[in-house]
Amino acid sequence: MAASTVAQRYAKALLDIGVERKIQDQIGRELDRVGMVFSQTPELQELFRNPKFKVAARKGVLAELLKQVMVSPVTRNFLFLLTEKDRISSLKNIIQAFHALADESSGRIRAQVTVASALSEPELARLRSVLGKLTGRQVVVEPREDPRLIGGVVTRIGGKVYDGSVRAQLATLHARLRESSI
Amino acid sequence: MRRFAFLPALGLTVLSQSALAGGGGQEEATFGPVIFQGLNLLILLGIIVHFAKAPLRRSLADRAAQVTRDIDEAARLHGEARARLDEYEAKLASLQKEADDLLTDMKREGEHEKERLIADAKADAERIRREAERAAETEIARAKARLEAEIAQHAVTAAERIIREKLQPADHRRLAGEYLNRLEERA
Repeated sequence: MAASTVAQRYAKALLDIGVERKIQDQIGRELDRVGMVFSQTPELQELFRNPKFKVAARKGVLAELLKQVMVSPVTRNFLFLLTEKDRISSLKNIIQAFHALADESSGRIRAQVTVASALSEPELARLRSVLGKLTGRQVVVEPREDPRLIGGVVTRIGGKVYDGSVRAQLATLHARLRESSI
Repeated sequence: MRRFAFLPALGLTVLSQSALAGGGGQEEATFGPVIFQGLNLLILLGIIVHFAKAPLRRSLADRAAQVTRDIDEAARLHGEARARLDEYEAKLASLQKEADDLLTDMKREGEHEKERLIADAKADAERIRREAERAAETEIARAKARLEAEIAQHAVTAAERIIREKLQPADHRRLAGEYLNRLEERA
């Protein structure tokens, strides 16, 4: 079975429980926190990938981790289930699928906003507002910084890209210089 | 056998001549033998002529015919030799002409070949020159394109460096504001 299909099934099951208990947004945030810890800790990834570590040992480490990262019982049980089924390696895909399903069910849309210098809260609010007008849906902004942009903003939303970065303007300048010289 | 029939008469004549030589006086011995010998000779000649005439004539006729044939044969051979000589002389003359013609043709062919080789060499030289010119033009165009690409890249790199150096927080805010303005125009 494809990893994305597995992730979709686990994410759908978790979302159904969250919707039923009206905590789907909370579960989403908890998954993001746990996912960030996993992505930033190679030792943790090795523990859950290497077969020489037994399920009991993995559960013990996970329990210690969840003491630090406070999560709801639903999220906690879900993570232990993934450990028992040896599906923690699909956690990143499951989180993405969970957010996509949650956004779809609540009429939201997610926007990946890349900036060279962090946007202020008023700027983010204005961006959410204008993206909402463009898409006609509630927009969840996921900002991240990338100095390679030099300056400006790049927004990826609903399969579209709005590139207002200095890097893109320099690329356009470069292309024009090449064209004018040919 | 008829050819030798005169031999007994010849023997009788000889015997009679010997008998006469053994008798007679001094006078008779002077004229008698001479007359007798003369007569004897005549008889002998008559016998010879009588018996040898026909064979001799036949032999002479045969001989004459043979000589005639030999002459005719020699004439024929001479004629043939003459004809052959004429033929050979004609062939020789023809061969000389053929040799002259062949030499002329070879010279002409040689001239044509020489002209063709010169023309080919000129064509090759022209082709090589054109190819060299094209290669040079292509190489120049490539070098120009590379140079222009490098210039464009250097210009952009320099622009990026300057922008990075000069870009202040206020500029980031301005860029974000302009971006949001453009999005609002779209909305």
